[in-house]
Amino acid sequence: MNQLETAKKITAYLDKGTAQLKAGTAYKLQLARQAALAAAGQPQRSWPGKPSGPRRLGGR
Amino acid sequence: MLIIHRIPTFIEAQLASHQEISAFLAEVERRAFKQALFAVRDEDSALDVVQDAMLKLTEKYAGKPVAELPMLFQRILQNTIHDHFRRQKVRSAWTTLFSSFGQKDNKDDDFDLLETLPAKSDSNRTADPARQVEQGQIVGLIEQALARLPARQREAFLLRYWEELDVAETAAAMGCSEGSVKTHCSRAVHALAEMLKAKGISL
Repeated sequence: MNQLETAKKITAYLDKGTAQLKAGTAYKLQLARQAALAAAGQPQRSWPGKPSGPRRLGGR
Repeated sequence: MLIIHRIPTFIEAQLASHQEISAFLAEVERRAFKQALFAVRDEDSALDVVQDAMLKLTEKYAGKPVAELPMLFQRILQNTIHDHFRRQKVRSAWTTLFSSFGQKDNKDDDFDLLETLPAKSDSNRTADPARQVEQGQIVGLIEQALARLPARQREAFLLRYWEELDVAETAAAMGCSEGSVKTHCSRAVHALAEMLKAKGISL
């Protein structure tokens, strides 16, 4: 078995799975990216006890 | 008289701009989500992990050169996944204490129609529906097999072959030696091939 060749075949399938991501998940990832980029321009979080930054998209 | 020379502009040009970071994150976010999902096995937690990793990258490393972003992001992502498990361990210790309290099954409340639809993507489309179904099944089996791998093997496999980091970069992202990366990768590929063979899939 050629390790690299087998790995490439497996990752090609993983790419297909990634392309078929659910619309809701893709949208949440887009929101996460936008939130991260928006936070980049803001000052650092003020103190440890204070919740700040964007709402958690996963809901936890 | 002291003359202070300006930093050459070619160095400045290599630092990531806001747009470049945005483009980078857009390119890697789906794979990052899948990586997190293989590890934490829960979509909401995987989304939180990816969001945290993105925030850490933009807050702390936005001034880094573009070329360093893939490696940095992978290191942050892996650390965030590990943090998730550490927090989960602490949380489960507390919830065990209070497990006698009633639990509410609110699965139906979380239903979102959007979640059931596949995202638009023009790539990897095949016209034949039977072939699409077959490929979807193979993808599902591969993802299941990957989720069953030991965490370090899965991490090494995904970083080395899916993210296409070299051995040294993978070792740095995982915090282990290059020899360990090679061993993990070899074992991962063999284990995946065996698991898929057992399901009747030859690659």
